[in-house]
Amino acid sequence: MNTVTVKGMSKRGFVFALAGLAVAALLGYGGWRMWGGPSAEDAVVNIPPAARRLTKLQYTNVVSDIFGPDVRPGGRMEPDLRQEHLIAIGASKTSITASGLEQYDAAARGIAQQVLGQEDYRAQVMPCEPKSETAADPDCASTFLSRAGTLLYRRPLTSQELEQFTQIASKAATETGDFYGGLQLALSTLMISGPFLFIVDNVDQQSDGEPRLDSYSIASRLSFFLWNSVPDAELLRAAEAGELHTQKGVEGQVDRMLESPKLRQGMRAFFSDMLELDLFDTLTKDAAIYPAFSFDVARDAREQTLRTLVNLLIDRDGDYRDIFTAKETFLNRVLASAYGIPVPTDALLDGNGWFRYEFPSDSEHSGILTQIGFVSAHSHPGRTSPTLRGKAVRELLMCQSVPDPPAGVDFTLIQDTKNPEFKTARDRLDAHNSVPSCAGCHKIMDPMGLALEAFDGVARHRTTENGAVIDTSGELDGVAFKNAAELGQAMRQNAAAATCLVNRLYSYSLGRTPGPQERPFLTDAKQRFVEDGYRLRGLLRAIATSKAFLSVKPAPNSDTIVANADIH
Amino acid sequence: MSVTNRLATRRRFLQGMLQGTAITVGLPFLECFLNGNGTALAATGKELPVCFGTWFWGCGLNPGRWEPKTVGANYDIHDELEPLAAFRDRMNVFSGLRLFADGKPFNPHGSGAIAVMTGDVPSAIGTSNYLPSLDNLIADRVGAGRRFRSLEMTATGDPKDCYSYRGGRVVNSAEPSPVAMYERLFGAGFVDPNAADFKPDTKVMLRHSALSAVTEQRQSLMRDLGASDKRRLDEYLTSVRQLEQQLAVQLEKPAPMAACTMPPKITNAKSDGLELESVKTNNQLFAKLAAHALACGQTQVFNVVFTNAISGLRKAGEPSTHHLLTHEESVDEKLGYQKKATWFLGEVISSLAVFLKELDSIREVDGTLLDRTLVYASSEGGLARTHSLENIPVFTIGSANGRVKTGLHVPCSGDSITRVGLTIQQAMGLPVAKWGTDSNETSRPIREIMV
Amino acid sequence: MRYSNRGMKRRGLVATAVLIAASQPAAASETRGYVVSWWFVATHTVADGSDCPNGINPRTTEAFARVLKEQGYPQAEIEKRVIEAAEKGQGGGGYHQIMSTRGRDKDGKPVNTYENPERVADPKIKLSQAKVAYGFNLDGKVSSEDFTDPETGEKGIDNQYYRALGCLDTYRATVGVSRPAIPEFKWDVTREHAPAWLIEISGIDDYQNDDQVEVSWHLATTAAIKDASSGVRRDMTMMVDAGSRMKVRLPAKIQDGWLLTDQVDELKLISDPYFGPGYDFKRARVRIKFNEDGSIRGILGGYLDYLKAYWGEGGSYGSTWEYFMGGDLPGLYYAMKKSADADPDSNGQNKSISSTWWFEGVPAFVTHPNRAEAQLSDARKSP
Repeated sequence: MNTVTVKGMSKRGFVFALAGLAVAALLGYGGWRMWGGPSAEDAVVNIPPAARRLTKLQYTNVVSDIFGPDVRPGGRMEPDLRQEHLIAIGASKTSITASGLEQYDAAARGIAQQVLGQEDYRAQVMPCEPKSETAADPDCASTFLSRAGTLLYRRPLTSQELEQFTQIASKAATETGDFYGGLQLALSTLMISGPFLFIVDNVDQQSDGEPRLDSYSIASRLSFFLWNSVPDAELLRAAEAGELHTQKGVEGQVDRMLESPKLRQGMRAFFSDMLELDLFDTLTKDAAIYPAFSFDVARDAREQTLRTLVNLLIDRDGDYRDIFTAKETFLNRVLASAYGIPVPTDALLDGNGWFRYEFPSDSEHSGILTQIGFVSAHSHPGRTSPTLRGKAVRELLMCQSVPDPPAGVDFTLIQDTKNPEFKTARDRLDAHNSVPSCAGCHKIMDPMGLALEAFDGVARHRTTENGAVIDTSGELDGVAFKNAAELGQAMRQNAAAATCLVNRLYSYSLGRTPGPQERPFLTDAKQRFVEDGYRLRGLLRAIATSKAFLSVKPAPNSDTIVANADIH
Repeated sequence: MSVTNRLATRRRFLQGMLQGTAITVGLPFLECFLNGNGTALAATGKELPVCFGTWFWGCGLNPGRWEPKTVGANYDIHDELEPLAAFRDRMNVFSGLRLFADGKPFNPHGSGAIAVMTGDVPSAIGTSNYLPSLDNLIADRVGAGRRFRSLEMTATGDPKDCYSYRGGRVVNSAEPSPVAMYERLFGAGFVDPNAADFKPDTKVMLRHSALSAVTEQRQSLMRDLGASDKRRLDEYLTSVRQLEQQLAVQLEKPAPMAACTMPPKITNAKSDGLELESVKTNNQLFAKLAAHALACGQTQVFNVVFTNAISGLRKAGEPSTHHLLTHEESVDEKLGYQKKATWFLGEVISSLAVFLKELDSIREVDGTLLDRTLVYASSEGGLARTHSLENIPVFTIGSANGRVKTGLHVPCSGDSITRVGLTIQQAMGLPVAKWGTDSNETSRPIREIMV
Repeated sequence: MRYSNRGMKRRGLVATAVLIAASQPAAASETRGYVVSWWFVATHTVADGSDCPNGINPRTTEAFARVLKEQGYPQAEIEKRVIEAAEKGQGGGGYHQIMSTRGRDKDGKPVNTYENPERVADPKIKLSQAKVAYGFNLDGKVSSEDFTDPETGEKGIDNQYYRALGCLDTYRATVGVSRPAIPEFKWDVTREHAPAWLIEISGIDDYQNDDQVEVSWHLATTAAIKDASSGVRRDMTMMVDAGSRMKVRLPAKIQDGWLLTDQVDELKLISDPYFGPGYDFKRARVRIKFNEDGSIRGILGGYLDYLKAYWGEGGSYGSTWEYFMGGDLPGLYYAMKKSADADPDSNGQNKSISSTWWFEGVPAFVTHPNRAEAQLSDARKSP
C-alpha cells in the first residue's frame, strides 16, 4: 500500500549518480533504441515542456494512491476539457477557473480533514508526533510536509517551499491552538498549489549543456501514462538515483510498470478517454421509451466495455483488432437483463457480481461496437442515431474527421413530405444519403451506423423497426458487410483502426497531437505494432521508452502551433 | 494590474490584525475596496450595484413570429414573445440582427453560441482560442470587489453547458445543481450583510494568508514553459487571487443591503437531464438563487444556460428532441411553422419570463432588482431548421439603473449582433469603441437605447 | 409495443405443426417465466357510483368524528381534534390513542380495537352492490349474491371479499385501467424488499389452444428489481427458492388464448410478513392472458379464512390502516364476517370468504438451483 509513510524519502533536491552522468554523456541522438536497428528518432525533436492539469480521474487516483482508497474527494470538480478527441490533450490546453479552484479548495480541505482530522487515520500517516497537540511544532510539521509534499508534487519540495508550508502550519497552529488543524491547512494548501494540480515539465541540463527533462518529470510522464497516477516509491527512488536518465533504467522501470496491476487502471483511463466513455456522466434516456436504461445500467455499461478491453488487451495480451469481433465479454445480473440474456446458474449463485459471457458464434453481438457502452452513448435519449454512431466509429476508432454539416440546409425540404412517418432509420436518412451536398459526408458515416441499427437505443437486438425489416447491409471503405458482426470483421481488416490506436495512444501519452518530426517514429511504431501481432503492451513499451516520449527541448517564449501529423 | 495592488494592500492590512483577538467592530470601510462604479450603501443614498446577466437558449425562434411589427415604444408583443408581455416596457427587442461567418468552417449551433457571447466566430471549433465573453469583460469591471466574480448556472444538468469564456481555451463551467449552488452561496461561507454583529473568522484569515505560498510559486512553476502555457498558468493564478478575494470579502463587514434575505433552502436534488420539466424546475430554482445572490451583493454578474445551443430538450415519453424536430418535422401547411418544435419555444420563452419574474420580485429602494440589472437574452441562431445565422433573437431586459432606455423595438436589419454587446459594454461604462472580429466588428452602438 | 414478439410468430408455426398429421415431429414445448410485478385485490368500480348506491363509506376524518361523538366529546372539541388529526397525522388530536382503544371489554374497560373487533359495535359499513366483479364460480352455484365476470361474462362469480370493501374509497379502481390506491402502495413497498413471486408456465405447445400445460408459482431468492420507469425490470434472471414451503403446481388448459387452471383444493402463497401472513387459498384457480408485449396478466380466485383475511388486509396495521386507508377497521371486520360465504362452523357462521386477486407479470428467466440449465422464457433467447 503506497501510503504517505514512505521510507527513505528524507533527501531533498536532485542527486545525480555518477553512473547516471556517464550514461547521460552517451546519450544523444541515436542513443535510444526500441527493437534494435537504426531508430527513426534520429532527427532532432523539438518538443516544448508542458504543463497539464490533473484530470478528474487522475485526481481521484492520486488521492487514493497517496492517502489510501478510503479517502475520497467529495463534491464536484471542474469538467475535463476534451480537445482533438482527447481529454488528455484538453488537459494541456485548459487552466483552472475561479469556480474550479473553489471546488479544488473544498475538495482539498475535505481530504485534509479526513486524513488528519481523525485519530486513527492520522496515526497511519504521521511519521512523528508533535510535542504538543495544542501548539506549533515546526520539526514534526516539516517532516510530515516533506513526505506528503514529495508524493503530491511528484518531486521533493524545494527548501523554500518546505519552509513556507511549514510556516503556514505553524502560524495556524499558534493562532488556533491546534497542531493538526494547522497541519491540515498546510496540506490543503499544498493540494491547491500549481505543482500539485498541474503536471509540470521541469528541465535540467545534461553534462553537455543540452536541456533534458529532469528525472522527476520523466517519472511523472511514465506513471501518468501507464498508471494514470503518481509514481510509486520504487519509481521515485529510480528518479532520485538518476536511473531514469539511462535507457536501461527507463526500460527496467517500464517493464516493471507494464507488469504491475496498476497498468489496468492506466489502460482503463486511456480507453475511457479514447472512447469518450465520460459521455455516460450526463447520458440520460427517456424512461418511458427505454425503461431498461437505469442508473445502474449506465454505470455498468461503461464498466463492461472497459473490462472487455482490459481483459483482451492486458490480461490475455490479445490482438487489438479483436476488439471489433470478440464474442466474449463480462456482464452482471442487471446488464444481462438489459441485453435480454439469462445469467448462468453458477454466476447467479455467486450474487450480483460480474461473470464472463460468450455470445454464440452466430450472434450479431460482436466486440465493443455492439455493446451498450458504444451504441447507447451515441444515440438520442428516445431513439437511435445511425449518424452519431457512424461518426463515432470514424472519429473515435479510425481517427478520421467528419466535416460539419453545411450552413443553411433545410432538411425538411429534402425529405419526402408525403410520407412523414418513416419506419426505419434508413428511410429517414435516405434523403441525406442521396442529395449530393449531404451524401458526401453521410456516405462515410451512415453505413456503419445503419448496420448497428440492429441494436436499439439501449443495445437491445432487434430485427424490425415500426414493423419494417431493418436492412443492416453496407460497406466500409470498399469492404461489404451484411450485418453488425460482418461490420466488425470489416473494421478488423481496416488499417485505419490500428493506425488510430497508435496515434491516439501517443497523443494521450504526451497530451498533444504529434508534430511532423514525430511522424517517422509513429510510422515505425505502427509497423512494429502490426508485426508484433497488434499487442498493446509492446506498443506501450515502444512509446514509453522512446526518445520522443522522454525528451524535451525548450522553445522559450515561442508559441508554435504544431500541425497535426497523425499518420495515415 | 490594479486588482493585484488592491488585494496586496488588503492583505498587508489584514495580516496586521492577526493577533487572535476577536474583532467585534467592522474593519474600516475603505473607498479603495469598492469597484469603479461606486456602489452599495443604500443607507447613504448611493446607488445599488448594477448587475449584468446572460440567459441563453438553443435553437432560436421562428422568424416572422416574434419580431414586433411596430417600431420604437409601445411595440406589439405577439406569438413567440407572448409570454414576455408583462415585461414589454422594461425590455428592448432587436430584430434583424445576424452573424457573419466570413467563410469560416461553420459548426452549426456551436459557432453561433460562441459568437453571440464573444463577438467572434471561431475559425475552428475545438482548436482555436476564444476571446473573452461579454460577461467576463463586464465582470472584469464590476466583479472585482465581490465574493464571486460571476456565477454560472445551467438548467440542463451538464456543467459543460456554459458560454462564459475567460479567453484562450479557458471556459467557465456551470453549476448544474441548485442544491450545490445554494450551499455555495448561502452555506458556510455566507456573511449576511444585514447581520447586527460581525466577527471575522480566524480560520478564514489563515486560509487567506496561506494563499500567498501558492502565488509565490509563480516563477518556479513557469520557469521552463512556453508562452501559451505561461498564460494558462497565469489564468490559474488569477483564479487563486480570486479565491483570496473571496476570502477577503468574508473578512470584511459588508455594507447592509436592505433587500437581502436568504432564500429557502434547496434540498431537492432530482434532475433528469434535458427532460423539459426538470429543466424548467432548475431554471426556477436558479432564478431564485440568482436573485437573492444579487440582492445580497454576492456577485454582480451571472450566466444562465437554459438549454445549450443544440437544445436536446425533450418531452418525457417522446422519442424526438427539440433539436431533432427542428430538422425533421414538416412545416404545418396551415400554421406555416413546425408545430411540435415551436411548442418547445413557447416553453423556453415562458421560462425566461419565470426567470425575470424572480429578479423582479425583489423590491428595492427605487424599484426592483430587475431595474438595476441588465439581462442579455439570446440564442445562437435564427431559424434552427436551416441553421440560419440571420434574424437572431436578442433582447435586453432591465435598465441597469437607468443606463439604458427600455420598452423599445429597434430593427437592425442586416447588422451584426455584436452591436448589442458593444452597446451594453458602453452602457456599463467600459471604455470600448468597437467590438467583434472580422465582419462582425462594429463601432456603432445602438443609440436608440442609449441614455 | 417496442419489443417484437417473435414468440407470437412461433406460435403460428407451432399451431400449424400441430394441425398437420402426426408424421411431423412435434415442436419442443416451451416454458415461460415471469416475475409478478403487480398483485392486489381485483376491484371493478363502476364510474357512475351505482355499485355503491348508499354512498361511499366515511373516510378517516368522518370516522374519527363519529367515534369521538360516540364517546361523548363536545362538538367544539370534536372539530378541533379532527383538524389536528388531518394536519398532523395519527399523532394529532389523539387519533391513534382514541381509535386504537375504542373497544370495550365486559367491564367497560378499553381494549385494543383491532385485536378485538367484536368489542366494538358494528358500524355497519356499506357493502358493494356491484353486479360485476372479477372471479370464478368457486362453489358451482349461481346465487343472488354472486357476480358476473366482466371478461368472460360468466355468472355465479364468488367474490365476497370485494363486496366487503368495494365501497371503501381507497379501494375503488378498475384493474386493468387503474390501480386501487392503497393496495398499490402496499404492494409497491413490499416488492422492493420481499422475495419476488415467480410464475412458470410449462408445456406450452400452442398459445391459442393447448389442453395440457402447467402453471407453477414460486418464491424467488431475491426481490424484484425496478427499472428506470419504476416498473419491474424485464428479463431478469431469477432463482427459485427451492427451500421455501411454497410449492404451487396447477394443471391447466389454454382455450382461445385464455389459460385456465384446474380448481385445486389448496393453494398457498407465501409472502413477506409486512405484507401479510400469506395466502392460504382453498378451492382456488387461476386464469392468465398472454399480452402482446410478452407480459402476462391474470386473476387468482379462491376462499380465504375471513379472520385471517381481515388480519392480513388491515387488522395487523391497526390505526395506520384506519388513518390512511379510510375509515373503520372493525367495520371491515364485520363486513367480512357478514360476507363470508363458505365452510360454516357449528354456529352456522361461514369461516371462509371468496376472493379474487389481480396480478401482472413481466418476462423473466426463471432458473432452479437443482437443474443443469435454466428454463428460459423462450422469446428471450439471445439472438
